[in-house]
Amino acid sequence: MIALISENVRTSDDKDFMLALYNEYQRLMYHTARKYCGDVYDCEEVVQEVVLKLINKISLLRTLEEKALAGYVSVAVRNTAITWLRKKSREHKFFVNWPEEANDLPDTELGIEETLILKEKTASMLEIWDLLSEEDRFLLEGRYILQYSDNELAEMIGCKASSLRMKLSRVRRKALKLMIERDGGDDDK
Amino acid sequence: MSRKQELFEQYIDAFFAVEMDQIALEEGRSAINLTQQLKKDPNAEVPKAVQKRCEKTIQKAFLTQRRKKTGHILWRALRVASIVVLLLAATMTLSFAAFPELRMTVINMILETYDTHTEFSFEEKNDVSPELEITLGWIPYGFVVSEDDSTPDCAWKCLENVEGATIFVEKTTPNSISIDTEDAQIEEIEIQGYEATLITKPGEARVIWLNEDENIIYFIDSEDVPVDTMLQVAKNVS
Repeated sequence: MIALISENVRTSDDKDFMLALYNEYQRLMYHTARKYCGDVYDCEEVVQEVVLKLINKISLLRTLEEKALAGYVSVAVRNTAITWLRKKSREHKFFVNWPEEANDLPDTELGIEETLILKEKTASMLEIWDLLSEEDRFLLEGRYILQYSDNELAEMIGCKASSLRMKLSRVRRKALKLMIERDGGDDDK
Repeated sequence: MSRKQELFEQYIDAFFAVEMDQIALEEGRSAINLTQQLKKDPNAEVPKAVQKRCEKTIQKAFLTQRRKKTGHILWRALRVASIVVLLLAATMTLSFAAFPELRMTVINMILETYDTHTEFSFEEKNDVSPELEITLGWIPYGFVVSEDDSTPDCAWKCLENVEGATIFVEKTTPNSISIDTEDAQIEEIEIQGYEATLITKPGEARVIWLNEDENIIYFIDSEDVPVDTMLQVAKNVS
């Protein structure tokens, strides 16, 4: 005897959740996409892409409270728009600085000494967020807010997963240095 | 990487996760405020075409997920089935040889009702492979075939319209199918001269029947489609 089971209760729930999420934030999604894409066609495609990405992360989304959920949607649209434009045109202003081998900072993660400083006191990420470049923010948001895997993020920026880890490491180091410097600067005042 | 380095890396990662959570919440505050403003702004309305397309994308994505799940379960079931077939073959061979009339299709339907679903089990003892190609004799206005696929023991087609309403038509060899019957209305009807079971809930309608002549189960699962429309599809499918 063959057992074919058509499970639809769980998927129906997820579908309803997704439809409600879309209805709530559709204007935000479209508005944000328009900020990045002048072309209406691009805008529509970005929103479609975001919807699919949100569906793939539905189990995570269901755990988020309202603000975090709204933040996730907003960041997801921005991230997807940037990725879309990048794919469309490698010369786009957001993407000129995705060097495969950036050499402005060493490849290593923070040293133990710096990590100990970190234990003491630093400025918050919020305070230095605007000092980071668009590319840096893209990577940090992709990893920590959207919770993309190395492979997903690497595919978005068009590099290997190993290079992605290197880039992330550099960005974290850069951000931490800024946080430490900013806090030191505040102390001096 | 040494153990110490590994721990420090985990520490940094956790530190960033906490810091980025603040960024996400700040982003969320702005996003909620902006959403409220956009809801009041008539110029911020999303074009109908984009809205429809997104809703359709959501409907389709979940339908595809459901199909994948079904396919996966079917595959697991097929492996079980192959063992059962072997056992049946071993025990029935002598009977078939001695009594040719036993070659006639013998199919029993067993219903097992649970709190949330009903399991329709079809037991068959037959050495004829059924024809599984689906022919839709009637397609409701506005619907198109959005999916058409099959496995060796199951074929399905999915019809959709722009509003995201779906009619899923499945033709499969006798097996067992679990159908959500919680708080559903169930009635016995007749489709193409065969006894069929119609299961309806608000916004959902399903019908299942066994075509004993073809030795095939037909299962139609619809969402946001009038029951009569779904039954019209059922009456004309082959």
